[in-house]
Amino acid sequence: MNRAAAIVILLLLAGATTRTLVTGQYVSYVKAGLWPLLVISVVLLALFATAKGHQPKVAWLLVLPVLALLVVAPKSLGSYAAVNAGTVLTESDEYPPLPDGDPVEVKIFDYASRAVFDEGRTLRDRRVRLVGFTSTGPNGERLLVRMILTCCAADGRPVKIGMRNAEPLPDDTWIEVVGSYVDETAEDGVNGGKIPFVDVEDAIRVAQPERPYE
Amino acid sequence: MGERRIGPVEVLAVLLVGGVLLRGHEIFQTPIVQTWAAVFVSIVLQALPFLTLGVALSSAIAVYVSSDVLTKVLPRRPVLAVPAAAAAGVVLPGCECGSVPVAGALLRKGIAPAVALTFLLAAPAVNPIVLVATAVAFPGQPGMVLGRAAASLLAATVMGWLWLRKGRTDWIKMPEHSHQHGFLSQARHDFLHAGGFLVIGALLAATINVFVPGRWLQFVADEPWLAVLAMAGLAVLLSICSEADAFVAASFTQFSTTAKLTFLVVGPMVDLKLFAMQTGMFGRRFAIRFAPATLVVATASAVAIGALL
Repeated sequence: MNRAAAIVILLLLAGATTRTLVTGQYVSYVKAGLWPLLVISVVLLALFATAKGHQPKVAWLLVLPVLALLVVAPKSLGSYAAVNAGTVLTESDEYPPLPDGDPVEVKIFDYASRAVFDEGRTLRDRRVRLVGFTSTGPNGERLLVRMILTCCAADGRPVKIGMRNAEPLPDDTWIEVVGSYVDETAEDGVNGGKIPFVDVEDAIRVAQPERPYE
Repeated sequence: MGERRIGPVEVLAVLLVGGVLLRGHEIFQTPIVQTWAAVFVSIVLQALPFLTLGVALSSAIAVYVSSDVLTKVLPRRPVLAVPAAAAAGVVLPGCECGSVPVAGALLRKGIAPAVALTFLLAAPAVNPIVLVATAVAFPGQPGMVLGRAAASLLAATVMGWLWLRKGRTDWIKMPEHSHQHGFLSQARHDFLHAGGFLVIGALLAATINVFVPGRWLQFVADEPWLAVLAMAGLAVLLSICSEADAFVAASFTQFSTTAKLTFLVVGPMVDLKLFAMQTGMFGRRFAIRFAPATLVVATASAVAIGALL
């Protein structure tokens, strides 16, 4: 590798990162809050490109993430990743009543937590609106899923809700479900975690949300 | 002049043209390729700020901090300097990708290897961000946070002392001196070097992440010892950022507390990504000795502390 190639690689990496920031695509890979740090790294990369010095051979590999973004342009994690990992639930200290609204918008993560750890006490007699993508459980259950991200897609884990009375849809279809709580759970074959259910009243296709992860 | 030779820039151009032509081909739309690429890109993007800031900090140390200052701050006797370095790791928030170049800079400055390596292990494992994340992931289980901090400090200190007794400096390929170029050149070189190795680690980790089905774990969860070993192995293979691993650990609901603690203690100290970066920074002779030893010490520390919880 010579100096010109090193400059091109550094600038390609800076450019590809900038592009994911400008298009908003970066939220498919990392937490939205990382953007100031990503801006700083773009600036530093551009600065590095101006400097002189040796260029180690291994730096060639830095072209691979650029090619992955250019050629594959991966979408956010979907059904494939969800089936491969166990449902994740985190217990809250308390479950205050849901806000007003009929149907009331609830995050999938929140619904599952309330259903599993609070026996659905705050969900009963309420109509809820949930947004997620479709997936299929090991026994053919229709699942509504949202991935949760802590740092990056490598730690993305699904929260799964079973849908009763749902029309069949292909996996990875984003939908908005209006429904109500039912006393029913299934076991996630991957980690033995509990999958609560929702009784679907109505489901419509929607565009993938700007922030695909909860 | 007039020379017809295919140089690196031409190779890059061909790669990019090929990329543009292949863009959107249906083979790249399959779920497995999409998931693999998403995980690969995300590991690199997540590491990018920590790596660029890490090499900036390490170059700053290399260029602007005199060795005298560093040696004065630390206790003179290495036996005491090791735990001091572990404790210093507590205050520096950052993740493992950043601590590798910083440890390299400390070595260049003439800090004893045992001390620099202890810092390398402790900094990503017990900083405030990581401990808060652990508390959030395990609500109502303060033991998990305390256990993580105690077991990680124990493992890092034991590794430092072990290096004092058994370690040999000639295992380490001393990071190159290039101070004649100044701050930016140093940082640029470190970035190109460590970044290349980070990509190797990200490639491996994404492959494991996508191709190893999570349900295999179900078979080992009920055997206490197997469960601990499986969690240690998984921490190595998945190479998750130390700031995020607590949430992943919490999702292994079927595993014992000790097994989860092992995942949290091993992950920030040994994983594929780190192994690749350590190979790049300190050489292969070092990495093939240091990583397995760290794995054993970290697992043992987690089991010992886990027994107290």
